[in-house]
Amino acid sequence: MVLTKVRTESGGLVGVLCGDMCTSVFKGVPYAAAPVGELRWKAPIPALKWEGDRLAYRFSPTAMQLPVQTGTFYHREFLSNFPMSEDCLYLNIWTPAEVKTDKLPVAVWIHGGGFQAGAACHMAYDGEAFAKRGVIFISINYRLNIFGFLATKELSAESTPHSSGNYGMLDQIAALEWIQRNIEAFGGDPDNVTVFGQSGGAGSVVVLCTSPLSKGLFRRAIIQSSGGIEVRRRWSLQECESRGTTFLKAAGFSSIQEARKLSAKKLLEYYDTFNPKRERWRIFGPNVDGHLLEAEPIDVVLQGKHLDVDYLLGSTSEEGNAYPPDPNLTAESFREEAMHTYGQKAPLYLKLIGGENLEKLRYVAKHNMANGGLARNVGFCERQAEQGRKPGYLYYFSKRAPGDEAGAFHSSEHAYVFQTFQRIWRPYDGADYDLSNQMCDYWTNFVKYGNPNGNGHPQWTPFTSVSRMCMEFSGRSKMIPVPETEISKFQKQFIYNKIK
Amino acid sequence: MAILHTTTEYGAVAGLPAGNCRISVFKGIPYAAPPTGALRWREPQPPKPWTGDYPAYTFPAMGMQFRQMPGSFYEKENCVNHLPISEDCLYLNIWTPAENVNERLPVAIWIHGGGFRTGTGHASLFDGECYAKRGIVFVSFNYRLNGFGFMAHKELSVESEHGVSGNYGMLDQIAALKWVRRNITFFGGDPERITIFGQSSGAMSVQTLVTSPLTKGDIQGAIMQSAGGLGVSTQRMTRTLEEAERQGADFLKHIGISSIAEARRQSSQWLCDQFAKSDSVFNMQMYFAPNVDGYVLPKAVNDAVRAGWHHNIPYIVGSTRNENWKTFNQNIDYDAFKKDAQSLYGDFTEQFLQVVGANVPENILACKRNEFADHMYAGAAAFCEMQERHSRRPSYQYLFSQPAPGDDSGAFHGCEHAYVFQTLLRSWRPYSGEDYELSSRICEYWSNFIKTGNPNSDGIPEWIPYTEESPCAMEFGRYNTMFPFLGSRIAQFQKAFFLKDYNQIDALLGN
Repeated sequence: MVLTKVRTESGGLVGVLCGDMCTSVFKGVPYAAAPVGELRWKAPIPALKWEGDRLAYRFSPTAMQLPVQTGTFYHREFLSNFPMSEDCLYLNIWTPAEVKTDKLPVAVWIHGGGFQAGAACHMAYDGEAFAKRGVIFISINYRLNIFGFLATKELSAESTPHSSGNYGMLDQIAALEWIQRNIEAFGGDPDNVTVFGQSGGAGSVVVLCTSPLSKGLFRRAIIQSSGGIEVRRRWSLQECESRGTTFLKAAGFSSIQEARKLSAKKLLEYYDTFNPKRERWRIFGPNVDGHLLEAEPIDVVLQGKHLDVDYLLGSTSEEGNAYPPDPNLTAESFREEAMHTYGQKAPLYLKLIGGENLEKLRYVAKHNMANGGLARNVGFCERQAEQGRKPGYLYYFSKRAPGDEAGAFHSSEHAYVFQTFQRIWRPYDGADYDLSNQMCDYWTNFVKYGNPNGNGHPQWTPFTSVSRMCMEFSGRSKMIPVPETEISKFQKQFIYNKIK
Repeated sequence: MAILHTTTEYGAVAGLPAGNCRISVFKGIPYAAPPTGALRWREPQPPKPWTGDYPAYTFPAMGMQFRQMPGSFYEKENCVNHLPISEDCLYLNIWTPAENVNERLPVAIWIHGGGFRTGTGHASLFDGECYAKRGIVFVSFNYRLNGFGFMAHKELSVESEHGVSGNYGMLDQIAALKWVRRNITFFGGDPERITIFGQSSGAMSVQTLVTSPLTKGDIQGAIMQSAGGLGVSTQRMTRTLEEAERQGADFLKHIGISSIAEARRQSSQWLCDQFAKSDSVFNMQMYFAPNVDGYVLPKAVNDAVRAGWHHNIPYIVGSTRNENWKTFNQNIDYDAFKKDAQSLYGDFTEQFLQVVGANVPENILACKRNEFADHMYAGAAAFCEMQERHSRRPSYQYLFSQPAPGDDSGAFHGCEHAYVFQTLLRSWRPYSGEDYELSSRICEYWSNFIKTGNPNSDGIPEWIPYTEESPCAMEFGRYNTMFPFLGSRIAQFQKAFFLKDYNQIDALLGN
């Protein structure tokens, strides 16, 4: 009989059986105190203890965020609007363990949403398929946007490490520390933890892998559709502080004390009206603060100072497909964007594009995200090989989703990794089902052993300097040479400082 | 988001989002008072109204039942052996995709099997999400089983206001159906569009319900999976009230209990242990099962179907290719075999034994190996033919032939659950893409039928109803097509016998 009653450091929990009747799930488990009132824009502190047993039957509210518009692509796909609250530091645990001494491997899922939105409870994510394969699955919520990533001088001054703006990341680390202290009670092995995430969640994983604060908290990392090692660099603490101060001024606050008194709803409204929208992900995202991050993640990787853990990473072949194209794209705006991104190297990039045919520019813009994913991941694997690190397992997800023309869009792998086809509107078929079984096996084998292979599936060989191969997930899984393009190569060289 | 909080005639209930957060699930809503203490062996009574929100968050206990042998075939398939059991088991579960109470969505009620002895509505392979996703309100429930649900006794009949006893489990099912009729609008369901479906003894229950005058007008469609119809399974429910009362008395005597009052004082676990042995002690299949009491059932089910007393609604009826061929009792006891045949075929027992070739022990073994597959196919086909003879709307027949992967058990009894409920991922079996596609199609057929009384829609092979002119079943297997299936000689005998086409039996024997 699976564990349904567990004692944590904060108190007792009662979980509920999943549909399979062999897995239990504990939802809405607090891993830190509610970051409200005086705790808004402070590093998370331990959760309050409670008496007796707490019913862990439902997901907590999501972090404060702008609602997803109904009828939009991703709303139809898998995003829903849930109750939200500033009181959001909760995690969810699926366990198949029957006794505390089972010592099962643990996978911690960090949701995406560009540090601005997202939630652990979105329906494409689920722990049952992992639990069925003997893995404990944990998903976490963390502070987002203005709540998770506001930096100002005043905030830096009041904090002990004299930094600010990385609260959402510190939440993630607090969750990982909670898991270290408590997961044994759920039958888990604190020495065999994998962190994985997609999009902004993958960006989070990269930050965790390049932060001195996460040493010893996990052993492996899965990075899906990148995010972290950007073509554009993250901002420094000073830059973020200055933008944060601009935000507070624009909202009419003269001090943090004042801003802390504002209701969460009102604050979200200010965030919504704050411009420029295009830069939000940089203003309200992780910054290089000398505490969480001592240097840009890319520089940490280039110096070989990132965590020496097992890596599995990849992206989809049509990342940008589901985002509406810019209707106002012109040769000029394209050039401007290139300047903005590549600075002095922009002419080289434009030369590579060759010409200003609008059709072509539209095509390039549409594939920019997919190229960027390839660039980051191949570049990362090359560094691993160069530095004599454990070679990375690289994948390229190109299975086109059935039902429309969106193809292998950004996030389309969720239903495969988590085996949640039944919740999605798409008419998935047997080939999708088989691919999903394979991917879930690869993922959970990696979580268990640091090696995705097993179950009689095609052999997945890691990327080395002599074998520049990746696993392609298309109709069926097979190894292919990395499908780099001229543009992705350029981006890779740019990101990894290889352009002379 | 779907309705997470609603009211019922007995009080307010709060549910939780299902895995698919656009669906809500309410688990363990009481549809009757706990049938314990003085209410043991009484018709289900209304539940006590409550104030505040009833937390419908977790599945209730299963009805009192004996545990499957650890490691046994169905223990591995069902994954319920570790779940709690209790006499206090009259609860139902609802999955709804409705966002408000005005939606009036079609409703499907699932009746679990288990030989009227075991089972639960919330076994791991049953689930409402795939139906709710298709716009259907799905209901599953538990009812009283074995001696708790089906023991009749003269004393019990005397104390009953209807002068009957022994059909408590069926009355529980009817109470659940009536509860749904009165309350399902609160969950966005349409009480005028209810389909009931069940497998094995759940299908026998379906057949019983559509034959009972107590449910007239309550049911708009019925699906019977691997039992029910017009055949052996329903023939096992022809015992009269008097017989059932005598069996109850024999049983109490056997366990040394002298009165119902004394029996009511016994612990539920002790009684359950005694009930578990009843079949073998009395050498009779389904010792505790529904009886023809004149109230729930005015007439034996097969007679009622032949007379056209059953509800005139659309039906799906079918079976699996291999049913119990790996799990049958391999004991070759000619006398017991003959005695069982006698109870089913009466004056035609000799003819049956002749068709089997029962003088050769291997033939008895072969007959027992295919027993369920034969009689469930025959029961389905006979029912379909009878529909036509009544000039009723023709029924849809199926044969599920896809062998389950992972061992050699084939298309075993109950193997369709993971397909019907799209729960392949919960099974230990290594299902592949072709199973997934078959599952999607079956769920589509079932959903269409629940919505319109017709399983067909664009994009899936056309399912033609069974007629005498085109006596075809839809095969669910590697090929998903209509095909004519005659059945074995034994099945042909059974079909002829239950249709009372006695000249065909003569023809079969070459007379």
